[in-house]
Amino acid sequence: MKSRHTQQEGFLQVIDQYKKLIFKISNAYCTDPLDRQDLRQEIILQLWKAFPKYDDQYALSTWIYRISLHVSISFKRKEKRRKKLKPLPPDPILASREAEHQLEKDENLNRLNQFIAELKKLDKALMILYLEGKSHEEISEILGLSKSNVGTKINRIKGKLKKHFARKKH
Amino acid sequence: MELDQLQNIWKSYDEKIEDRLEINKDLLKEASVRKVQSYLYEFRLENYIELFVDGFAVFYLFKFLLRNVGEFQFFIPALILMLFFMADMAWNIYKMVVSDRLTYKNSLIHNLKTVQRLKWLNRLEINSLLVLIPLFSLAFIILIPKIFAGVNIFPLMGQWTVNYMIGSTVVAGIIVLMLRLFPDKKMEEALGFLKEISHYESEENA
Repeated sequence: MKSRHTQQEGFLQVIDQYKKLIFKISNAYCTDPLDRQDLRQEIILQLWKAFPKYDDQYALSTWIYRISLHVSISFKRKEKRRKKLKPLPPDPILASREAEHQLEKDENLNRLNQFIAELKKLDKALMILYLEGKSHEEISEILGLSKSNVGTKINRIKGKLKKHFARKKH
Repeated sequence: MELDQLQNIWKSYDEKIEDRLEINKDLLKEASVRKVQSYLYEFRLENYIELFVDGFAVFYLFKFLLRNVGEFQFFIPALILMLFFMADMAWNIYKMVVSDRLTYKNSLIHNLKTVQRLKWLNRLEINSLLVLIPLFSLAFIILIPKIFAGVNIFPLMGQWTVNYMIGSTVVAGIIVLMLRLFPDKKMEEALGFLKEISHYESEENA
């Protein structure tokens, strides 16, 4: 059995490896900077909680995607209640102030985040995985959907995308 | 714009944030304990509300006792109720002291024991309702007409009082059963979360 030190170090290495993904997911799910920070914190804590049980017969990336996206969906679902009872937030584990400012200036990224913000909670997850270049099979494994359902949903998102950008042109 | 174009924008994201994200390793434990504290936020809020109600009841009953020193039939139930509220105040203060032990400065295992203690106190409180509801609701029935309308209920007491005691015992049983079947969800979540992450420390001690 691994010692606490090795396990914790191992976990921090994993987070370091996937910090960009956690950052992108939180930005896709929330528009408010404080909410984004809260979501990042929540994802990291849930990953930490689940890390001792990680089964290495599955790909680490699949495990990270699955937990991060499920936490994000649940985070959005409980949004109203969370805001009502929110205690003071602790300092962020994943600090990113400079990155937030930098990204705000990027027009293309803003358009992309705007489009993702209009999608439903599950569609957001699907879109993120698609943008990450995951195959339909991988997406269905991560989100627990059938392959055909993934295909249908992606086609629907494509339709929404066309409408969204046609609207913007006019 | 097509999905493929969006994919390229998404890929460029990584380069833009590459060196701008840093991990504060030391905050992992602090953030975990803060999360547990946030699970227990409602529990603590309820404690404060109960404490306020207890304080108000003790103050009011004390005034009532001073006005009714000679009337033993009211003085005794009021005294019993006042002692109950005082005991409840002490109980709530104790629960707050225990929940204050929940801090990131303590080990995760210590924090786990604190939440387990709070859960045990909650269970004890739920079980005590089996005695408290029948006993104290009778005292309430005697005092409320006297306090608010100046009515002495003793001449009206009879078989219904016995039926009332039996009925309130049944009600207490149902309330206790419901509370045990549906325990404080947040407390369970806090406990579950701490149990999982305290593995990191228990493995070190093993």
